Amino acid sequence: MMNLHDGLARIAGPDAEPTPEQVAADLARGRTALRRRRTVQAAGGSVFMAAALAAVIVAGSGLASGPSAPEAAGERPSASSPATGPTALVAYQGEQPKGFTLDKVPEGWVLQGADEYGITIAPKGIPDVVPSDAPPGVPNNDPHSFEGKIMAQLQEFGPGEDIANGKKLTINGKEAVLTKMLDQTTGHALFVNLGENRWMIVQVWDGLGWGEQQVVEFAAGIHVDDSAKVTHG
Amino acid sequence: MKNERDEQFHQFVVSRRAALVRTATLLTAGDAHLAEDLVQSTLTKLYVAWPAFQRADNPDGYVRRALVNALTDERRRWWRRSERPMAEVPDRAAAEHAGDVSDGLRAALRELPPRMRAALVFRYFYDLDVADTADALGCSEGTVKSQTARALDRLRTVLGPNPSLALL
Repeated sequence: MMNLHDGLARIAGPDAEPTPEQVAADLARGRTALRRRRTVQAAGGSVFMAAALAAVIVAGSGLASGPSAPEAAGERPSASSPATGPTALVAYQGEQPKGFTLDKVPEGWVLQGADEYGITIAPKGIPDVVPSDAPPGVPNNDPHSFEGKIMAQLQEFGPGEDIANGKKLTINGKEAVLTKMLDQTTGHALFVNLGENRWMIVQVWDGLGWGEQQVVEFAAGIHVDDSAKVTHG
Repeated sequence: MKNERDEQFHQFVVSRRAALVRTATLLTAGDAHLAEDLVQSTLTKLYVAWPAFQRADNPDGYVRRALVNALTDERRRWWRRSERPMAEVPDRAAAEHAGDVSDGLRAALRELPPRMRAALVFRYFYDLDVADTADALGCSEGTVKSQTARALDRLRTVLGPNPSLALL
């Protein structure tokens, strides 16, 4: 006679080992969810370390950061440059990341991390260890953390209802919305509709001193190709 | 760009995913697709909250709670899907005509509310005590006792006199 335990065991099925593809997919989902979570968290208020805004023109590649990153021959912003904050945009001269290409980066910042899902721009010279009692918004060396940084990534959706009433713009011929995440103060969130359920979001952390036009200029210099992937949190 | 979290999570998935799928399959009354959704959702949440999971006094209990929470979420999705006629009818028709005992049990489990089913699974498949089951479900021990008693009653009602299945 089959008892309840045996019946449940049959329903539970065999103890099948996961395939490497399943494990990789689980990891990818976790990473993209964490990225999205940090995007949302980035809406929170922050205090940014002014010291991080070292005025050294640097462009790195991939995960490169720190003193070994090559120095770029910076292109000064044009007369029409709208940059009003402490950071100006200069020509990016490092290796272009896969999926995304960059025309400009903030002066003194580096491309901290890049994969097919997005890019993270961070101030040069972040210490190896950020003190545990550092205030919110202090950037760290984790390219998947967006605190105190600028990021761009693809996602399936545009701004949600609560933040959709931003400034309607056209960037490189594409519909865009410049808005703020919930609770975001001096930072910005720019959504650019690339079509086919692909939106590029450019997020500028609170406290970086960026004006709206600087966000737009930076975003206009980011180009997404077909190898870029959409995050699914 | 793998880091320590990635490495630990990778090992966790390799060693625990199969068991999670089995538990999720039971929690979803044998719905393999929904179970896979449940596992993916749970693993994603674990990755995001990995530091907290690592600090947990009872990691197994942490995972069980995450599964149950995901079950509740997934059930909402399930009911939404079931509003579409084609989503539900084939499953129910198959269950009603199933001759195998485990198919009958599966159909009976499907009739139980998700948390009641979870109580039954944790108590009578995983042999958790009432306290651990209550922890997994986020309810009182008294609720676990009443839920499992009602679950068994419902199974008996749905299955009827079935000489090939001893409930306990």
